[in-house]
Amino acid sequence: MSSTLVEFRNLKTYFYTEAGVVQAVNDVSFSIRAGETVCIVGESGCGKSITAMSLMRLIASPPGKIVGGEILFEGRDLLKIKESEMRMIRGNEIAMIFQEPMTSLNPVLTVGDQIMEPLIEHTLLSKSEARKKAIQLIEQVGIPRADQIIDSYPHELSGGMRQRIMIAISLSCDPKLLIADEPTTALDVTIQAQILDLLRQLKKDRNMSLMLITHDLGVVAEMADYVVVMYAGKVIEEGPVKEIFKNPRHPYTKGLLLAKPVIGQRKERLFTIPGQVPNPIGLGENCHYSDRCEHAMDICRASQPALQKDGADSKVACWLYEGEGAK
Amino acid sequence: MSHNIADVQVELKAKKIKPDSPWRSAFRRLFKNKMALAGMIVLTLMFLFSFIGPYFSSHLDAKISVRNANLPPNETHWLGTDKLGRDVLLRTMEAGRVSLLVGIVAASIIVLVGGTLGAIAGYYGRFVDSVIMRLADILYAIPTLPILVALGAILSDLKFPPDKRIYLVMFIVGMIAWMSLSRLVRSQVLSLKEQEFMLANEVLGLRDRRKIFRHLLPNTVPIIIVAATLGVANSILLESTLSFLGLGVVPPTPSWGQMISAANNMIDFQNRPWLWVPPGVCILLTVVSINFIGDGLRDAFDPKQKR
Repeated sequence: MSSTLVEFRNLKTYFYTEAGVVQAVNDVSFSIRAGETVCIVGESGCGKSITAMSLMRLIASPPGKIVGGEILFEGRDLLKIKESEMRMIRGNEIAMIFQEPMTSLNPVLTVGDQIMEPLIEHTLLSKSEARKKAIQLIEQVGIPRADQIIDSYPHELSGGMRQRIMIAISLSCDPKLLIADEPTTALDVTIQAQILDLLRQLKKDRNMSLMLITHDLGVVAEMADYVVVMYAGKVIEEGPVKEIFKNPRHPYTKGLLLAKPVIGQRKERLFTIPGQVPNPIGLGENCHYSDRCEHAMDICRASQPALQKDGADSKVACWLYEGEGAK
Repeated sequence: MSHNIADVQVELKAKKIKPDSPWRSAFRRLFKNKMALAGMIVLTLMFLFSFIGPYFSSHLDAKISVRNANLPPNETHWLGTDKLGRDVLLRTMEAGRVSLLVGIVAASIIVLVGGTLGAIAGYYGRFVDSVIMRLADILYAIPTLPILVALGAILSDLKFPPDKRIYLVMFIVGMIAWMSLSRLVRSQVLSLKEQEFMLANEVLGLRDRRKIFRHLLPNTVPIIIVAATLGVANSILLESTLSFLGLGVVPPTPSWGQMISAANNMIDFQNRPWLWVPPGVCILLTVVSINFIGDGLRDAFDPKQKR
């Protein structure tokens, strides 16, 4: 497609807790190309958000630490640059929105002030120019009466409007990459659809990349160009969205897709993947999914499969397909 | 025709929903609060009384005259005279200037030093936090009055010019009272910085200065305002105490506390109430009205409060 914008190379983010080392992100590699929507899918606690926070270099330290790997943003390793340079990238080139629009806005500042802030910080706009731009941004995210909304406080707005304001804030400096960490989880379904539409529209207009973190496969199907499936801190499968949905390879991905309700098909019970996510402390050398996998073989319990090319664009980490890619 | 009416109505409606500027809406709420309004009226009168009042006094150019000493209230001296024959009303007014000024300046120092140090300690944590908070602990541990007595003695020893001593009193009163505010602000900042909006700010790449002064401190405005108003009141009281003990403002500069201290003997206290009642009433009215305003401001500035 087009050039690579972000590339994670063997990223390892560990948390050193009293109970032991949590390998929250363990050897994760994937890349995001310019103008592409990449969805990171996985259960709670599988390292999706930590991957995003590592990209932003906002891992609380201690206890967290990025122990290895590289994150290349336009060829520069973000893990090596100075904090002051990183600050110029945050909000300016990479922006992020969060799950909770209710608490992500400062309650004592007007939304206009908060939209203008990154503009004043990162661009040379004067206050009145920033205000004009803020009104434009509010209009762009589909809120009417922008010139009045700009002076209102977050508590005067609904959840959907607040998330739109969050999007306006994050887009204010025309970032090249927008990270959306479960942006619609806290919203009701109709608003969810609107916000997703908005994100897709804005992404197209601005030709920016979108890194969408979600556990909702419906969202993935609707938004993604490329899907990365994570499990217990590792990427277990990745590929173009059509490939993943049509032809899932990893048993975990298959399980996730089976667990999704299909409209028009009434089932007594939805499929659930048996077992629990393993305790992230003290994970062994086995395939982390082997305890829950119906295809588990001896080799699965003994060693970890590597993420290997499987098919044209997709990769999978599973012993079932070991050797197939080489053919 | 009907079209026009509809347009006008829409326009009116639009005008009505237009959000107020935060300051205007806060003050609107403040003026609705009857106690705060009363406090503001009394305080305004007090300022007028102290700062403009003296120019209307016919005794402004009067010299000390022992012949007129200790006169009870009469037509020429509405509140009587003190032991040097000075008009008590005029002196109360002039004392008010000093006392109010000390209160305001000291409270500003408390807010500036206490608020800033508290926010910095809370935001950066760890080493910075330890240093600032231990310093506050140490200052807290020393009782106020002994410090002031010691400082007063040192100042007298150093032959500090008496007319400049008033500025030093303001400074000292401020510097020994910032700790409680800094603790309050720090604890608020500690919980605020874990809020998601601070993470969102981090993601926007804002500077630390901006995060502290634009995002954290405005969230602590209610406690800062309450602390500031209490600070004004406490500083006035503290200055009165100091002057009463002979450590604060030095005569001939008057202050309310110093006027009371001038009457601290049995004869004056029992037989010449006009010497100490007026400054006492002034202190009481000022402190109480400032506290009412402080309460009103706290309610008015809380953006989460319903109108």
